[in-house]
Amino acid sequence: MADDDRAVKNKGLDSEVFHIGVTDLSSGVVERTRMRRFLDFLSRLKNPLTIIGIVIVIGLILAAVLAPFIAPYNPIKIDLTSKNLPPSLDHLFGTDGFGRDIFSRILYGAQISLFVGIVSVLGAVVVGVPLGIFSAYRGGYIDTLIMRIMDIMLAFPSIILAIAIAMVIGAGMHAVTIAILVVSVPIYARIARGSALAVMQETYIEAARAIGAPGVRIIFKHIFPNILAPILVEMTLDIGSAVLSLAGLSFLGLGAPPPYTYDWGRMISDYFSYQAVTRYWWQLTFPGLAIVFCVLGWNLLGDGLRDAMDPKLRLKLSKAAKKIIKDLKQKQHALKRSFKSNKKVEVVN
Amino acid sequence: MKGLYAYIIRRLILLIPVVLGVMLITFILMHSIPGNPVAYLGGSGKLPPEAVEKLVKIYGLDQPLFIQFFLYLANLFQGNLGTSISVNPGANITDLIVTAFPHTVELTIYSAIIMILVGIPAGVISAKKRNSLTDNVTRVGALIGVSMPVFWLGIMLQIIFGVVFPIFPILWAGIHEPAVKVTGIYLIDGFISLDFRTIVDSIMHYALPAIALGALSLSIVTRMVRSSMLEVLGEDYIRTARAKGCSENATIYRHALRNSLIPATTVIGLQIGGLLGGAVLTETVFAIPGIGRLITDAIMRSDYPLVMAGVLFIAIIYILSNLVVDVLYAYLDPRIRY
Amino acid sequence: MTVNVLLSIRNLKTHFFTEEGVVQALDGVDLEVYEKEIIGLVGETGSGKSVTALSVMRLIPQPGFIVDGEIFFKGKPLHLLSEEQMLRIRGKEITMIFQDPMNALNPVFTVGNQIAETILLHNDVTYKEAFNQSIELLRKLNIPKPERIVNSYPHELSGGMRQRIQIAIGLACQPALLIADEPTTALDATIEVQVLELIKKLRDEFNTSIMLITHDLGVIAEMCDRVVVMYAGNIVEKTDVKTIFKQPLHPYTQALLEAIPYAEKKKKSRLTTIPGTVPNLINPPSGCRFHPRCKHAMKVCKTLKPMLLEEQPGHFVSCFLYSKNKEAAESKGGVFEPLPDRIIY
Repeated sequence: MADDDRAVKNKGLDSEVFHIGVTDLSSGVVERTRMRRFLDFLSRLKNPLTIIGIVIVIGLILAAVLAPFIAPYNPIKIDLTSKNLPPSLDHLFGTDGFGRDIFSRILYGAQISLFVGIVSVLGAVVVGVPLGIFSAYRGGYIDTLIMRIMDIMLAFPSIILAIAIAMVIGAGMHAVTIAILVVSVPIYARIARGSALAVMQETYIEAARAIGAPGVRIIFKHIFPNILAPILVEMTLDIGSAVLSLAGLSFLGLGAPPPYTYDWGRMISDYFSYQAVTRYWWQLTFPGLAIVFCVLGWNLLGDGLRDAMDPKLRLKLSKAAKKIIKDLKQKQHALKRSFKSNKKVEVVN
Repeated sequence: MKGLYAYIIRRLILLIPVVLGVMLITFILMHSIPGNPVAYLGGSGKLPPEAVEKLVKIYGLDQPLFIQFFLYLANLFQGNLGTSISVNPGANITDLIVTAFPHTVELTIYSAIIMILVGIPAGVISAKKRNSLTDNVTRVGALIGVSMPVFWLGIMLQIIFGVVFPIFPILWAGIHEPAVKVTGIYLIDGFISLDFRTIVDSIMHYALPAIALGALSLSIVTRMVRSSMLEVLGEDYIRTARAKGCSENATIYRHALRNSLIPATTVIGLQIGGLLGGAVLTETVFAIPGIGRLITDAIMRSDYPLVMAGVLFIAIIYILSNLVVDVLYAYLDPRIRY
Repeated sequence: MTVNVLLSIRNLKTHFFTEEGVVQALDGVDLEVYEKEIIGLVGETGSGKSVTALSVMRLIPQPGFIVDGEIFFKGKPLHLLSEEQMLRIRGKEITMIFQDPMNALNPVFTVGNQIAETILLHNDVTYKEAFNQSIELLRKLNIPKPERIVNSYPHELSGGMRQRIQIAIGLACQPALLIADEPTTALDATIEVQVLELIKKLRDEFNTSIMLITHDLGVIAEMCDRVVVMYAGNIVEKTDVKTIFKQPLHPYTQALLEAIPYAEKKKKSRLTTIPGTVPNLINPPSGCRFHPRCKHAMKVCKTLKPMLLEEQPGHFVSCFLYSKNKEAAESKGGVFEPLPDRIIY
């Protein structure tokens, strides 16, 4: 009893409240199946913002996959008869200086953003996580060396390092993807190393290592369930920032080469001129909105996932409870008022 | 306070390997550029052969790599960042950077002011009125803020406040030169020489770029302050403060704010890097002749030495500004100093 | 000793409106604190000790609310006071110190500053005077080198010292009531004794009433005049400290006492534990909340809720085993047979 009490108290008031509520449930937690927990997790995603995020992400994926079928125009075909047309029913988002339909280009552009975003983040995980685990496992000077290199990479503002790397590799989609990938590696290496160190402190891992069991395999086996959740959240949020980085690099002329000129960032870069700013606002506005929605979608999804995985963060009241509280407050208020008018002397004391 | 000084010195010593590491990375990147350095130095045909020969000698391009690295370091510590090959052929890069730097500093300062003066109060209020309308609006606003590309926001601001409502200039028209030029930062020089035209010019020119650049960091800081404030409000010492009879405001502003700023300081430090990186894009959009613009030009014209020098310079500025943030951190949190 | 009631709590119900449901953390608590007494609140985690204390302070964290009941302190109805009026009571008339000395002090201010703050909040003095007063206060509490201690940050002090600082903060304005929420749970045994001695001294020197929350019956025996035993948001027994150890009436109190390891009774007697766990307060057991774990549970325990009635002079118990509750239950038609379908742990 005493130990239990202490552990709860250390976490402060909120956890105590939490504890009061679920003391009896806690014995049931062990029995909960994986499936049950997964369902609970899904039910916690039922938050309007998260749902918007999911809808946007699914919409993006559909736009990317279905672009060839739903795009009304060819994204790269030049049609000088319809240059710089403002938005209309024919051209939903207007046309650019070469008469290309901006709506169609944005649909196709989703392919590039999603490709670069997902591939670079997956690549960063594939490189970063084993690196972090290896670093933690080896320890000693190898660990120090790897982590120092990661620190030095983090000493650059990320877009600046990405510029330098993309510049060295040379223009092209692969260059941007690799640049964004390399820049994100330290994040995953750090997360993985931290969890690996924590898991390695566990007695069973130490025991396994002491009798010469293949430690790396054990660590991988035990670490993955532990870091899967934080990595997944980080990945979702990172896809958003990868899309932003891609847009920035493309804007600087380091992005996709022709014929992939329908990349969102590159479109803004290509269209950006004094004339466009003063007269052809749609050319600059819609590709940017596409970027905003894409990044927002991933961010909403990432935030939602994180909150769903960490139920402590939420303090939401059920509708019934809200009503009870409202009634209660009214009641208290009325009481207070009647009290004030009747027995004022006593209150002042 | 004695602990604080010792802490600063310790941090300074720890900086040395990081700075060397950053230099090593830029050096490696320089040498990973496809082709012979001599080829790209002279290959564009913009430099006369004698000049190329001189460069080969200065950088020891005929020497083994590690000797080249030490030559590179030696040059760097003498303040020699190399020679521009195509943006401004033959010009000393150090000079280019020194001329451009004050513009970048000015822009970054404006944005940092916006980030701190708006971000921290917004985060605090949002946390204080958790789940209220204010909170929800702030949260959604911050979410949109972190999702916007800096350069696009700049362009949108140009369209709205430069074209639709022509309040601010959209192109760099040049700022009235103040009588006294000490720092090269117009706002500060304007105040020193009491030249109002310079001050107003500076604000007019930097308002839109600073908002565009600051928006992202502002949103990140708001989110961070909000969440760390909420965390701190759950701490035991907040309950102690309330039990003492502190009012809600005293609890939040005296007891919680400083504690919640401790983790936020780290984020603000990281955001200075974000601002410096974003400055590259913002300066390009607003045609501000700062380092970012210099780097963009260099990228467009494949001026490798200039790009690398700019990257190195920004990284070192970032490291130094983080040192300042660390010191601030130690000041805020007495536990760190020992 | 004349008995003047300082604090009286009547039928207090505090509920937490969580997503899982309404947690009935307090379900009708009746209790009074007399002047200059040390009253102990004892019970398992989740029994409602801390919630009772926080309700008195009106510091229940969201989403908790006082749903019903009255709290009178020196004749003032605390449950009806506005937040502004409460501010003048907290820290001045009623103070509370908390279990964990690690986190209970603000890490970014010196302890002198934190003691002075309380003085400053409730008295019309300058900061310097308040600061000097806090040095004096520490000296009165026999804390060594108070001039040096006041300029230290909490992380520079030991756990026991921090707890003493908390007590100093609590006493800064000489309150009438000090609520100590498990003040020694996180401390070493030797330091625990010192802190408890200090608390005891306070009652004698400052005439402060103390509400001591603990789950340690040893502390209760050492410190308290009267004891309140709580279980699942209810008070099950309330009497003076001698009676509770000599003649406990409620089965829960008896079980608690049996669970104490005594050095003397080493012969064969196995350490007993109370079967089962603290009930879920979202969906508490019907009738007496203790009946699922009770040895003597009867059918009536499941259907009717016992009241806290004075069984012997000054000895209150809420259990159907005893005459007063029995009479009340019989008039309502309670059945006094052993409960057949009990889960035997």
